[in-house]
Amino acid sequence: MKLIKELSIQQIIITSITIILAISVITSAISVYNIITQKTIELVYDQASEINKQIVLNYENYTDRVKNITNILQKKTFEYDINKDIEQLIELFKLLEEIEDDIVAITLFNTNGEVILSTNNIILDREQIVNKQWYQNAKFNDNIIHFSSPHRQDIYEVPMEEIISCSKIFEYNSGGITKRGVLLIDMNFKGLSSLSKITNLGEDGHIIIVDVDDKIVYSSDNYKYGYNSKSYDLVKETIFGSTNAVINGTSMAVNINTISSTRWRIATFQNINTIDEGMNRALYTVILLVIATMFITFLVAYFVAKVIINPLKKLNRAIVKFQKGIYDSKVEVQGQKEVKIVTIGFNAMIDKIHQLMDEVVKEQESKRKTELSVLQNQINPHFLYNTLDCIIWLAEENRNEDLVETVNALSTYFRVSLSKGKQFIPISEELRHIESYMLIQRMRYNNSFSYSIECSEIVSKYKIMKLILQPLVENAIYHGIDKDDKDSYIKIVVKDDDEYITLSVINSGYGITDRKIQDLYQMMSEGYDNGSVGMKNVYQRIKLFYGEKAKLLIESELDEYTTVSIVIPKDRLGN
Amino acid sequence: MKSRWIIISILLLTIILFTGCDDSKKNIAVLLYDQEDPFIKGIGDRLIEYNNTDYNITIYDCKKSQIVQNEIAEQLYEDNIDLLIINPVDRLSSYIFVQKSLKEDVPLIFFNREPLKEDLKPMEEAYYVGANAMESGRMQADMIAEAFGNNPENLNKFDKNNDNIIQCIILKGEQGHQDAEERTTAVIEELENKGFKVEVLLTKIANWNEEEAYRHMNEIMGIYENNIELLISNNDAMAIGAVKYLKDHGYYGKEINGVVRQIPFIIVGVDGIDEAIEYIEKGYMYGTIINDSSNIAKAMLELSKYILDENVNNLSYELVDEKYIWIPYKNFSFE
Repeated sequence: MKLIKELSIQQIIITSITIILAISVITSAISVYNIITQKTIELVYDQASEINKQIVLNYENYTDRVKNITNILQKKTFEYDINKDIEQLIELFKLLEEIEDDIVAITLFNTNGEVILSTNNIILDREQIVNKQWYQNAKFNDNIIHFSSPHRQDIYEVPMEEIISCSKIFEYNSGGITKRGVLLIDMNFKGLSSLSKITNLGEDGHIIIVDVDDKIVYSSDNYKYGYNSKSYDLVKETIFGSTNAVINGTSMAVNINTISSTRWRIATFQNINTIDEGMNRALYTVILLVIATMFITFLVAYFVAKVIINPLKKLNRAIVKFQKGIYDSKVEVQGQKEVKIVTIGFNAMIDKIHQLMDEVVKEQESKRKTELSVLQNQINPHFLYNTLDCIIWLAEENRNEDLVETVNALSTYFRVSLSKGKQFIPISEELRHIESYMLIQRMRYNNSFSYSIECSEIVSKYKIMKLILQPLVENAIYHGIDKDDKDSYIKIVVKDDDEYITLSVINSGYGITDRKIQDLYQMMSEGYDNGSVGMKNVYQRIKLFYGEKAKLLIESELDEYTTVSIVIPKDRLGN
Repeated sequence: MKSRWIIISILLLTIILFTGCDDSKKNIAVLLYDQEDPFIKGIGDRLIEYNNTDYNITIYDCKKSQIVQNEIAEQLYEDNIDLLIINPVDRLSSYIFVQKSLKEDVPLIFFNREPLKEDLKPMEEAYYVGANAMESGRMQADMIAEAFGNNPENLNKFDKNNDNIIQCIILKGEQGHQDAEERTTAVIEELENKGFKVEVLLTKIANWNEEEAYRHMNEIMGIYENNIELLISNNDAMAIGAVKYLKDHGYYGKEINGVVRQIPFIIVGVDGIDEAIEYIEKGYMYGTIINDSSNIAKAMLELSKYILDENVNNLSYELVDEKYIWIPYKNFSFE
C-alpha cells in the first residue's frame, strides 16, 4: 500500500494498465496455447491410431483371403472323392493357388504326414512332415487355421525363405468315408511385408508384429527393433492398446492391435516429433505475440497517461511556483474536465489572493497613514512652542526648580512619544507620558488644576498602544476644565477585570450633554471631522488594532465631571 | 458461538452426503461383439434386467470389430473396471485380454464365443459361460428324429420321395466358426448315430443373418425345390429368413385357427429367439434349440457375485475345470 502512495499518477496508470493487460493477455495466450496443443496432440494421436487401424485392416484383408480360400477348398473338397476325383481336386488346388499371387503352394496331407495331393513337389518324407511345427499346431487345435511366423520352408524342391505356413485340419471324402487331414497353404510373406513398408509412420517410424508367444513375426528393422530393443519390450509390456514412448530420442505414438484369426499383434510406432516441433513453434509465436502486445500496450498506456497527466503536471508546477512566492502563475485551462475544474479553481484562487493582497496593502497603507498622523500629532509644534515659552518664562522668573521639573517633563514626554520606535509600551510608561504632559500643562496654566493617577502595579505591567491618553487629556484640559475653579482636577484611573483594561480620564468641569455625547460617538465612528480630532484619532487607532471589542466610552454629569474611558480587550494585547 | 456450530454441522452434512454418494458399487462392463445380433443383445438386456442395483453394469457394442473391442477394453482397463464380461469378436485374439487382466488384476468372464482352452488357462479368474455347441447340434438331431417319426427305418410323411433318406439343406452360420462347425457336424453325426440316413443337398453360408438366408433361399429353391425334406439352420435368424422366403413365395398353406398345416418341409433352428418361438407355435418352423439367454445372464451375474463379493463362495452352477459354466439347451418344438 505504501508503495502505491509513492508512485505518481502517471506511473500508476501505466503500471495498472500494463499489469491488467499482462494478466489477460498472458492468461488468454496460455489458454489458447494449451487448447491448440491439446487439439494438436489429440489429432496426432488419432492419426497414429487410424494409421494403425488401416494397417491392421490391410493385414486382415490378406489373412481373410487365406481363410476364404481354405473355406472354399473345404467346401468344394466335400463334393469330390479323393479316390475318384483326385485330378479335379488338383485342378481346384492349382486354380486357387494361381488366383492368389502370394500363395506359393497348397498341399493336403493325411494324418500320417503323407501327401494326398499338392500343387508342388514335396521332397520330405512323412516323418519329417509330421514333426513340422505347422503340422503339429494344426492337429493340436483342430478347428482353427494356424498362421506361422515367417520361416524357411524346405519341404519343396526349392526351399523358400520368408514363408508363412497356414495349416488346418481338413476334411475330405475317401470312398464315402470322411477323413481328416492337414491342409497346408504356404504364403509368401513378401506381400505382407511390402504392406508394412507402404505406410507413413514418419521418420524412424516402424512396425513390429508379434505372435501369441511374443515371438517377432516381422520387424521393419530386425537390427534396430529386434528382441533387445525398447520397442519390443514396450510391445510385450503393453500387450494391446495405445501408449507413447521415446525411442532413440524420438517421440513415438504406439498403437497395438490384433489381426483377426492369426493371433498376431501388430504394433505401429509413429513419429510424433511433429507435435513437439509444432508445440515449440506455437510457443514461440505465442511468446512473440505476448511481447508485441505488451509493448504496444505499454506505449499506448504511456501516451494515454501522458495526455491525462500533462495538464496536471502544469498545474503542479504552477502550485510549486506559487509556494515559492511567485503569485502570478495562472494556468491555461486544458485537459480532462476534472483537471479543468481544478485549474479554474486554482486560477480563481490566484485572483482571490491578489485581491486579498491588495486589501492587505491598502490596510497597511491606512495603518501607516494613521501612525503617521499619530506621530505627527506627537510632534505638535504648538505644544512645543508653548512649553518652550513657559520654560523661558520660568527661567526669567528664576523659578529654577520648576524649570528643571518642566524640562525633565518635556524630555520624558518626547522620550516616551518615541519609545524607541515601539508602538506598544507598558501602561506604566504611558502613565509617565501623561504625567509629564499634565505637569507641563499645569505649569503653563499656573496650577489651575490638580491631577492624579491611579493604577495598580500589576495592571501597569500590561502593554498597550502608546499615546492614547494624551489626546483625551488634551480635550479635558482645553474643553472640560473650568480654569477658574480652584478645585479642578484630572484623574487618570486604570483598572482591569478578566476581559478588559479600562483607562479612564476623569475631569471636573462643565460636562457634556447627552446629545453632544451622541454626536461625539457618531463622529468617532463615522469619521467626519468635527472638532475633537484627537478623540477620533484615538478611537480609530484602538479600533484598528484592538478590533470591535475596543471601546471609547463617554460619560458625563453636567457641571460636575466628564469621564472618557478607553476599553481595551485583554485578548488582543499582544504581550 | 452459534455461527461456529452452524459451520460445523454444515461441514458434517456435506461429508455425510458425499460419503453417501460414494460409489462403492462395483462396475461391470459388458462388451458385446455385435448388438445387432438379437440373441447377443438379449443376453445384454437380461443382464441389466436381473442386476437389481447390485452393480453398475454398462453394455458396449463392439460392432463386429475387434479393433473397436480393443479400444473399449483399453479404456476400461484404464478406468479400473472391476469386472469385464467379454463376448469376443475374434475369439482367437482374446488371449490379449487374459494377458492384460493378469497385469491389471481384473477378472474376466467370456461368453458365447469361446476362447481357446490354453488362452484361458494362465489366469485363475478367467471364466467362460456358454452353451456347448455340440450339444445344440445333438439336440437338433433329436428334434429332427422326432419330426420324422423317430423310426430311422421308416420315415414318416416328411420323407417326400419315400427313399428313407432325409434330403436336407444346411444353412451354416460361418465357415470355420466354432459354433457353426460344431453344430453342423454334431447334428449330422447324431442323426447318423441314430441310424438315420442323411443326404446334404447343399450347405449355404448365411453368416447367421436373416436377410442373407432369405437371399440364399432363392438359389436353393431354384435348384432343389421339391427335393428338400429338411432345412437345418445353425441359428434362428437364418431359419426365419428361410421361413419368410417360403411365406412370401406361397409355399405355406393358409393359417387355420392360427396354425398352418401345410408346410413344404421341416425347418429347425437354434437360439430360441421370440420370433422363432412365434413361428414354431404357428407351425411355420418345426422347432428350435433354445439357447437359454436368460440362464446365461443369470449364470454370469451369479458368477460375478462369486468373483466380486468376498462373502459369496457358492455357485448354483457347476464350474467345470474351475472355469467353465455350460448352460444346457432346451428344445422347443411344434405340438
